[in-house]
Amino acid sequence: MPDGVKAMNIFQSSFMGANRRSFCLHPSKSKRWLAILLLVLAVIVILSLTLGSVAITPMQLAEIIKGNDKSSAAYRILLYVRFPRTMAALLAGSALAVSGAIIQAVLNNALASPNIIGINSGAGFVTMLCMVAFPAQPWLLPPAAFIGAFLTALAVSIIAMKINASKITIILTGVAIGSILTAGINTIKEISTDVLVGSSSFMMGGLSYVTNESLHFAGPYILIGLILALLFCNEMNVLSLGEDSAHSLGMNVKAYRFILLMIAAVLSGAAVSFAGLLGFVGLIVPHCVRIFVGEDNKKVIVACIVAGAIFVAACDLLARLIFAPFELPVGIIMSFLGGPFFLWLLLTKRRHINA
Amino acid sequence: MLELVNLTGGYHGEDKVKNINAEFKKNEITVIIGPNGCGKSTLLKLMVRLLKPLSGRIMLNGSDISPLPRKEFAQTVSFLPQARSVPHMSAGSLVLHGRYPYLSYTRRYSKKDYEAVERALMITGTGKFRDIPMDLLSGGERQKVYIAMLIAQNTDVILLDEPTTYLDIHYQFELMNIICNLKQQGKTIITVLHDLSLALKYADQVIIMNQGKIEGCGSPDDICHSGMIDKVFHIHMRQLLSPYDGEYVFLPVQE
Repeated sequence: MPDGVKAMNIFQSSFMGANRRSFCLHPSKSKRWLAILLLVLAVIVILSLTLGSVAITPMQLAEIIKGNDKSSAAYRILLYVRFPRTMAALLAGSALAVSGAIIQAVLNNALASPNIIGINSGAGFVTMLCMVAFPAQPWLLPPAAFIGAFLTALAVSIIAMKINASKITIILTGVAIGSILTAGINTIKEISTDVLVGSSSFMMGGLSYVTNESLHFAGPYILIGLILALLFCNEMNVLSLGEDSAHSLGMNVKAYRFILLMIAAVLSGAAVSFAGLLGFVGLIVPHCVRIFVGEDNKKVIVACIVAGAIFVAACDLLARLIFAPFELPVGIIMSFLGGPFFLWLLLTKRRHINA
Repeated sequence: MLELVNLTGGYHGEDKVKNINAEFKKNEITVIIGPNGCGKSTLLKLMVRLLKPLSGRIMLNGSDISPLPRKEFAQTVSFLPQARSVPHMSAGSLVLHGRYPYLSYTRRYSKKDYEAVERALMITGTGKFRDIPMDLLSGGERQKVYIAMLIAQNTDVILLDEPTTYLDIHYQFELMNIICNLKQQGKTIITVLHDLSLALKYADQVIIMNQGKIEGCGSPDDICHSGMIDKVFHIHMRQLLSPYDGEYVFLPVQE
């Protein structure tokens, strides 16, 4: 009792006001990381716009942006090839990274990500069905992918809740559902004659077929999803206290889980609808980001938006350049680069990764 | 303050606890004791609406709690569950979450919220852990931070499920002293405790449970002299007189 009473007295006599800033864990440090990330992003975007099988010089780029050079081949390449492709990389990267961060927070599971628990396969399966059934309706793809992603997420979380699953069982459930859906994808791929549907680019995740039109349909879903994710950061933090604590703080745990899972499904569904089954980004980007900015979901989500975009855009750049003029699907580069990088992080900074 | 009327309920529609009638008063610590699996934790979960009662009512200041909106309820009753995974956040952020029930539509914490957090950190002596991630604190330090979160939540009724389990003895006493301090500020405290000596030392009212029912209820001395502890726990209890106060000592009995 003496301690507590003393503390109360100190509080009553000397306490004047609270300092808001004191709650940021190294505020300057995380701001610095954001600045560095944004700088890297800017460099990658410029490189992605200028480099490729036909190089555009920075001078040409500046001219085109000024609007002086509308007739040249460089202008058309930029507008119809590089711009959609770069935007696609940024959007897909941000969307999948944030989706992964949300799913990890909602399932309270470091191993979860949209590809591992089958959400991407769900989105891919319905997208492919849609491509085959309604080949002339590209606007249908993002909502179809969202429905696929959402139903898969729902199925995994309902089964997990029904059997009161442990962290590992949730992953196993997702893997099982994912493999069923992947079998469905492969079936469609084998029996369909459509070039795009049959391409390995969709299976591995690739950005070669992205057009301004497909972005036009999927972009709004992603932007809305990202804004919603930023709005619900605090709820994600409260959820990480555990179900009982979140509940006793007055949170409707089930409703927020559902809403967050919806947001994650919108994001990964929209990304899959134009970029195919990009895997790794949703798992590793959130983890990498946490090592640098900590566990506060607000910082994690902001950093995921930028770092996810960087990661996919950089990998896509390499995918275009390494065997130019031939291209690899970006998913292959992502696994080649991301895998070792992630292992390096595991080996050197293991304390931060809490599986 | 808080009253249970014929409360029955449990997980998945079971009647793990049956016909519980009890009253918890302001400025009192009620300690619930009983053997493992007797329904202590279930009773607490029913009281914080984590489980739905099959029948019976929970009355707060004379009115039924079931229609209260979530946030309003969380502004009146706080709860520290027993089993928790360690969240990956700083102690300061954790305590700030105690203000979640007070968030308005702007969804931003106000100056008042930060002041409540500061005060909670001060009372529990955890201000120095503010920027330290929870997973780097010891079990005892962590538990004090959780109590700080409950203090920030600033509810009239505080429910704790075995707050001292796994703690070193000095943390047990430190924690119980903080809880006593809260009682003196007019809170209603209801806690499950495993340690019988600790329970009898700090309780104003003891509720002893067995097989889902309340076996007895009364002051620590009444409960001790009723022989119920011996019966429920299959032990033999002695009161030893120390120069300061009579401490109860428990000895196992061969049957």
